[in-house]
Amino acid sequence: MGTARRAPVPKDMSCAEVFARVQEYLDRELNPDEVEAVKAHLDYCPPCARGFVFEESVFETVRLKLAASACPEDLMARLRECLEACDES
Amino acid sequence: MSVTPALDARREFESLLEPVATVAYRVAYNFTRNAEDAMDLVQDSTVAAFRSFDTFQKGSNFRAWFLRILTNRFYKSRKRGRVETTPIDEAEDVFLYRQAARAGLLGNDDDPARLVLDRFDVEAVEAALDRLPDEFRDAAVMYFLNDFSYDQIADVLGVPVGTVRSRLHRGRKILQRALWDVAKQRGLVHGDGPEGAGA
Ligand SMILES: [Zn+2]
Repeated sequence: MGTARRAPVPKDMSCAEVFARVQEYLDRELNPDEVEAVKAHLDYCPPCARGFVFEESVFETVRLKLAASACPEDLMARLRECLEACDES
Repeated sequence: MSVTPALDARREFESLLEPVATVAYRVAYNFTRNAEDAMDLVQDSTVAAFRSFDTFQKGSNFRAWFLRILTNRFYKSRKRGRVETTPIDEAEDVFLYRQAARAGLLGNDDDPARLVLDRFDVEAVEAALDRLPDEFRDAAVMYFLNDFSYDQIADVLGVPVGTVRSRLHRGRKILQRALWDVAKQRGLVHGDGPEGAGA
């Protein structure tokens, strides 16, 4: 994967360093070393662990809300009409 | 002869389009912020995609391919038009969590985030998303409406994956602040201070 390299992960991360990686951790976009370092921190730091759970839930909820927004019921029918017109021209 | 090759192609295209039409509309709606423009964009993208259907690699990700076409068409139309959003400050990490804690909203619930976010309806979340500057919003729309990896988002938006990474990182922080601002404006939560915390 052509991922741009970022700063290497310190062995013992501070809370701030852990939080800077919360989203990429949740998105499974960290490399295995980084995942280990974050996990190690979360194991002994309940405030960070709570923050991670909160963060995950915030963005999951945003996802769910956006996925529930209105959509015209006849959408596919209208797209079919466009295609039909397009085929005939 | 019952089925012409052209009709065959159209049926195949339609069967691929059907499962992604709704998400394409929602992406278009969050891009254009307007139901009519969203419909125009999806229709226009549908015709454009069908016309270049022979460039679609069978078996690859149709959703990503279609959304790339839709995004490109949106970018072309945006050049003439859209009012710039006012940039808003980036928030500290886990901003919403800290604000909610300060406002005494967290309690002992198992899922405190839901407790906070349940105060928002879909429209309030969309309003918060709309406060993001364009480049952050585009990445966030792709991220939240699709189960895409950063690589796929990079491909759809036509930017390097490092750019996606940093836009999502900042975008999500800005979004947290925007959510909080919208919640305050609409009276869904009160203030930043600890007044609700029983102090
Ligand atoms: Zn910590």
